[in-house]
Amino acid sequence: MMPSMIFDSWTMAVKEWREWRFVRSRFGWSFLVILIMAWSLIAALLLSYLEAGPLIIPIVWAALPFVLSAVMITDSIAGERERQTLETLLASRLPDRAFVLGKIIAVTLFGWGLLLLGMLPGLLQQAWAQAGVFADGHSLAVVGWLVSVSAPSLVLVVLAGALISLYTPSARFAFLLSIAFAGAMALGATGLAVWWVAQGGGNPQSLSTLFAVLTLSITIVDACLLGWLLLSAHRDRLLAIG
Amino acid sequence: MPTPAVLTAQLTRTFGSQTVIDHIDLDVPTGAVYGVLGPMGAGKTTLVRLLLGLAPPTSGAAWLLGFDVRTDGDAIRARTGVVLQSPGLYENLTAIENLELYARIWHLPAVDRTARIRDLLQHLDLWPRRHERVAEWSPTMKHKLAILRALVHRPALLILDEPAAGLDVQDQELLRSDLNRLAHQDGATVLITTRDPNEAALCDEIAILHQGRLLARGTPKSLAQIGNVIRVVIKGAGFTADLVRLVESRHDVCRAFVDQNCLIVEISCGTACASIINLVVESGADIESVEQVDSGLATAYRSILEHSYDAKHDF
Repeated sequence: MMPSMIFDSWTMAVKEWREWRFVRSRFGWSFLVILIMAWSLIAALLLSYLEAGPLIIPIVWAALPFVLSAVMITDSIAGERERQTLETLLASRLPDRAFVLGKIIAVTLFGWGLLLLGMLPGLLQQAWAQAGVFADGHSLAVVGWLVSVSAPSLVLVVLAGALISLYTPSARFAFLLSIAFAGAMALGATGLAVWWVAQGGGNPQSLSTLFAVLTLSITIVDACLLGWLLLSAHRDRLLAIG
Repeated sequence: MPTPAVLTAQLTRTFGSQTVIDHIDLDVPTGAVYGVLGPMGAGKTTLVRLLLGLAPPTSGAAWLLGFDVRTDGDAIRARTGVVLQSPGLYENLTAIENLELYARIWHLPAVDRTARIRDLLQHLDLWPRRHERVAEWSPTMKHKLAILRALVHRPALLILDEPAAGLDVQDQELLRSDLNRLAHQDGATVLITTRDPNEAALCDEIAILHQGRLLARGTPKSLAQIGNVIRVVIKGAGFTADLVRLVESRHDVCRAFVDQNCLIVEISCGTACASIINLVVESGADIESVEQVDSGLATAYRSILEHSYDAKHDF
């Protein structure tokens, strides 16, 4: 049963990637890559002078992949209905959960790729300038945010987007809610970073504690949302989406 | 006695106060090409959705290939191929990618998958365009691909919702022969819904659906007699509009119309056509020949819908 579910989910994930390959033109993809890299560099240059800069910069790097992932998961699930492909798919032997899991896998891996893409230019710039995130031993903050917090946070955005798509009456409304959720995540994280630094928590030891707590909390929320999503992903609900 | 491919018992579906499927009893034998004939809004698509477990029945029951649609949806879908009214193709994928996706979904082994997809695409002359995005294709080609997709896993039951609607005449004929081969050689059952009595006439059996109710069912030949209508074809000249109106005004004439150089008069069974021929001659028309022909399913179908029989008819 389990290998079959993995195979079916992977089939769906590959289908998603193949579709995206054509959705935008080659120019469109190039533009997206340039935009994310420019976003990364500009954030690093502008924010590295702030006291809370080492914590805020990774959040800004993650913000664009968060929003793009929210858009893609909504389009992927609610958009199937609009493109009239959902009913045929659900009339096949594809298990309900594989349909949703495949889309989660596709968007999460894609989002992590965007995170990496957005992080690299900024990191290189900061390392070269020995400023901001790399000043005063702050490189830990960068790596901590990106690996232990941003990655599961992106999963959270994707899972929330999937749930929103399942429970909202229209694809357009699902888009708006998912983007709003991703934006709220980035804003909340920024607020937390500023508050933490203002409380004098900018030293490496204190940051390690913060990252550990955040990572654990977000992972638990991810697990709960995934469970909810898998319980919700049955044909009746899927046919009612969008 | 073999299990029927599709069996429904008092199957009913309502949306609010509207009854879309009204206590339908169907019995589709295994290995048959079965047509569900009805006008737009008859409930054909809802019936298909109920049979596939895509919508639950309000009351009654249905079994496909011996499986209950309420509880065994997965088993049914694993053995069924479907083409719904919308082709449901991924327009950003190529033809081969669309078929490959469904071949994977149905767990076809890799070796079989490639050969099967090639055979299917070659059969409908789509192989040379296999690497093109479906978005660039004509509606007819998309429709053909959707039918191939439904066949990719060699289903025991094929359900096609208005399959010929998007095809040209040549492809319609090819589709018909394919469906017949699938049913009569490979033993699969084919259930098609259609608005076209001429298309339904090629099925082994037909059920006529109207406003969610099953009005009649039987073989095309037996149903053709249900309308109690005989068609008289009068070949000649001078069939004016006044003459047509005059003929049609008779109480025993159901319908009269001119087709090329023929006056076609549909009369009730038991009506003597001599008096009608006399009327035509007296009106100044020249008659070359008179032929009485089987009224055909189309006429019977129209008659059944017009009379909207209160009781169900089995023939």
